[in-house]
Amino acid sequence: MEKDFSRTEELLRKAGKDVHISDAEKSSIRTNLLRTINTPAPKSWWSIVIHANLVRFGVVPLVIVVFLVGGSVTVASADTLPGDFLYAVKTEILEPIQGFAHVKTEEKITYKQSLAEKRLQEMVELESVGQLDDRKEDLLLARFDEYQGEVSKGAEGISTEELVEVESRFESSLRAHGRIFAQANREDVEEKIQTRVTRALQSRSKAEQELGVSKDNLKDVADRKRLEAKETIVSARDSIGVAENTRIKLQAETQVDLADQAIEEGEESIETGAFAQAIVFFEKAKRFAREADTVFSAQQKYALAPREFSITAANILEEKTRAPIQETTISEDMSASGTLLMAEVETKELEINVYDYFEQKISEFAGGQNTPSVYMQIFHGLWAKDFRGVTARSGVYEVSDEKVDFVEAGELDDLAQQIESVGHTQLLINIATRLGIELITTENVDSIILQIQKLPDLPQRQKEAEDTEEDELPEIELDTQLDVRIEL
Amino acid sequence: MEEKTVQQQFIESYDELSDAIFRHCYFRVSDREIALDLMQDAFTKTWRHLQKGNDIYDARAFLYKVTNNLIIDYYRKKKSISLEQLTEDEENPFQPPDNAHEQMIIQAELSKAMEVLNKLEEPYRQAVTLRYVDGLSPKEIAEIVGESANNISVRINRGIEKLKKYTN
Repeated sequence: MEKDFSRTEELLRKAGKDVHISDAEKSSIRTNLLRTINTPAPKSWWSIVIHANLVRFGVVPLVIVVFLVGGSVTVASADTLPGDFLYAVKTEILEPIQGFAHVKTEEKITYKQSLAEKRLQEMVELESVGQLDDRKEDLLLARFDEYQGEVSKGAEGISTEELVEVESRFESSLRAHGRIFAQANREDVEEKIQTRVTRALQSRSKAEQELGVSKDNLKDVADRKRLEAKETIVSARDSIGVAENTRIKLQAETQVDLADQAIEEGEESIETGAFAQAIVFFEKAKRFAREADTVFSAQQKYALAPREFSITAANILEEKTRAPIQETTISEDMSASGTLLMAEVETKELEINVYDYFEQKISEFAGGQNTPSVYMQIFHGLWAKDFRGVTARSGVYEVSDEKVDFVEAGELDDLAQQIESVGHTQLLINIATRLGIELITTENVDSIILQIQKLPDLPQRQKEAEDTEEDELPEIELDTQLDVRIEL
Repeated sequence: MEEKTVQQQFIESYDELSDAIFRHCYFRVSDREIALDLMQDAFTKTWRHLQKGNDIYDARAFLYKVTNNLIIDYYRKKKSISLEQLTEDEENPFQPPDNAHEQMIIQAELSKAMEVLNKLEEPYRQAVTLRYVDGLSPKEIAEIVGESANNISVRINRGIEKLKKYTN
């Protein structure tokens, strides 16, 4: 009998070792749990009771709704998303009722704008739990457009400087959400948002032009905008301060640093009495800081990985390049849709031309040996930090202690360290940002190439040259360099 | 070294303990799909507990505790089904991966183990499963079940006595 039990005991122990969850099951449940982690805590029992009653009785008398506005339904529906029952209560009843509290035109506009931004945030929330389907996407973007349209209509009654702020805010919010969806690998959504970014950018540019011809004394406005911009930057820095992922942090900090630069430019404009220009700079600073804050918060909340190349830098240059072009592209007699289409086409062509042109040029110079060591041997004006985040075929270049390091991420073959298209784009962005050159035309790229061919006059570059080991650099024929210079 | 976030710690706990929790559920409910659901529910409940700002000092013990409560709830809802029915109605028995002869032996042994366990009523089944399938000590089981280690030892011994009778 004892022996029988010993066998059974052994059987149980052995059977225990034989039962496993499969990798697929484990992975599937892991995904579900990650979604749970990124979902707000479920609501308390009373919200469920209210929910059930609303379902049962269908139509809710307005009196009850008004009574409940300050209470439980408000709270219960506040975090609902499309697809939840209370979502309709939120958007069709509560939000309009809350809107009644805003009497002044500026307040109404701000409120509508916040609702538009809320719809974008809801898209991100839905995406984070894998529930953003085409129908919900279209619904939310349509709502966004609706609010944006209402804001534009209402904006006829506000001052030009406030209009600049409204349009600028739309633009930064859209840009940020476009980046968030790009990082969530939802290029389809990003593309739809990008269309709206272009539209917002046009509106903002137009408002800025109007501001430029304004005869109002804008000194006080400029001073106020400067303070607002500084506050926005402080707020963004507070958020970014908690970052753990250094790459995400670096990206966000870089953009906030550029916001600082915009403030400096604005302050210089104030000193010269160019108050309208100063307002434009301060709005730009707010835009950068808000965008950095929004994207960073989403990256933290939804554990999004930054893209292969720095979107921050790309956006900054996009910011610098698009505005003047589209201002000249738009003419008053063009239809809105025609203008938009042309602006988009021109922008895309511009980007392709500039970046492709740079890649083609620099590759020619290097004789196809597209590595940092070769480039630095040919182009003496290049800095090590220009290669930060530049991707190669099987890895990425990072910079530490003024030295370029290759971080492998894939198969190591002869071509592993070769910089490819995306890497060249990043390199161009890094150089252009450092030199302060706008990437508008291929002539600008030529100018950049000329500048990086010059011998450095900075101690930092000399130090880099000393640190660079001779034997690491492949031999480059002098003729190649001479040919290049003559060609330029 | 960077401090891990609660989310990271939780997911690491899942990676480490999901297999054990699933195994425990499987030997308690005899149904793979239900065991998977219970395991997921246990981790979800644990996360909700953390989300409310509560601390968990021993993730393993806490998870077993939550799992046991879920299994009790499961049987309360399903109390009309006898242990025999559980065996007979089993629609999704454990299916080991394809591996011919070796897997057939494993399957046969597993069926025997389940047969033995299914004859054992609660709370003895719980104590014996935790002791022999999960390999926990009486002290650890006591912590999970919320009773004294002495009580658990008695329960395991009684479970063993019952098993002796069944297997005789």
